Amino acid sequence: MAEATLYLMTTQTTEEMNKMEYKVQVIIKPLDVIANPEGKAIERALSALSFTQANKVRVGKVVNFSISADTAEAAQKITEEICQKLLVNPVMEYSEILISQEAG
Amino acid sequence: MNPLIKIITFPGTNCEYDAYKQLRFLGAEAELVWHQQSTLGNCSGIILPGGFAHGDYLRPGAIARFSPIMEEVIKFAEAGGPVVGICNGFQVLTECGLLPGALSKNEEMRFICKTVPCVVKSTASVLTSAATGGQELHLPINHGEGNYVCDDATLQYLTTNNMIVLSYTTNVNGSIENIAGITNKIGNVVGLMPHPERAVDPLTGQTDGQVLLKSFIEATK
Repeated sequence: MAEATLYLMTTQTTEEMNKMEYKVQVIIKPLDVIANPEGKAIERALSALSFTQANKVRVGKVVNFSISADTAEAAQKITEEICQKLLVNPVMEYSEILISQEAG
Repeated sequence: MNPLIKIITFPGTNCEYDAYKQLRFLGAEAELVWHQQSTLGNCSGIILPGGFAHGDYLRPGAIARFSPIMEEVIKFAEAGGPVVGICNGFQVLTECGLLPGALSKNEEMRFICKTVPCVVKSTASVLTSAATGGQELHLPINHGEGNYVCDDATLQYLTTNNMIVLSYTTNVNGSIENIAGITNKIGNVVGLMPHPERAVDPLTGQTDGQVLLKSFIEATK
């Protein structure tokens, strides 16, 4: 048993062992110039509930995932590429990326 | 070889048979092509039909653009082949960059399903060549996200190059300039929110879509 464990450990490259898991959150928001009907609907509902203090409601979306990378900078770079390729359509949206180290 | 129109089908597409039947009704040959295929085979024109490809998750068309067949669709379009995206197909065309701009949620919080008057703004496209400029067409629309948006520079580019092919006569969904359909600069790729294939067979009570599909069929010859 001990031998098998040792064998498994030695087959892992140092590169793999050094990788960290990063918790990523991408917040996707509608551009200010784009109408946001969901926000408008919520604003009307809030107003109907007498929360007239709340205005300029805008609804976006949040995507959570984890990334295995050497550094937070590398995780940031991969996430930016993911946003650009798939998650965000720059004609209508912009995004904010939050990265933290996975606990444990 | 007879012209053969390929209709791309994604999981969630639901207008492929409407397009198939109405193209055949007008005398064209058509075949369905599953999105996982990586070749088009014999193909003289492509229709990206309406529906909710990949559940419209993330954004309509955002995931469909990465289906294997899309590489071939893009190659075909870039080589000048006629391509038309209807409704969800229009959303796929903007997402994959074959057409500029994007389709956002309808301005009023409604999914719209009705027949609306449209006007042909340009006949310099594979979908409008048989129509006349200014011709009014009554076409069914059926969408929740058909509000065409783009920045000022793109709008300028569209108008300068005569790329707006179809517009609504009134503001139905919030689209800039009431845009219902646009083409690329050379006119071989067209995207539109209205469904011409639902206004072909007199059985449906309206036939104004015929002139559009006839233009497209002609372009595939």
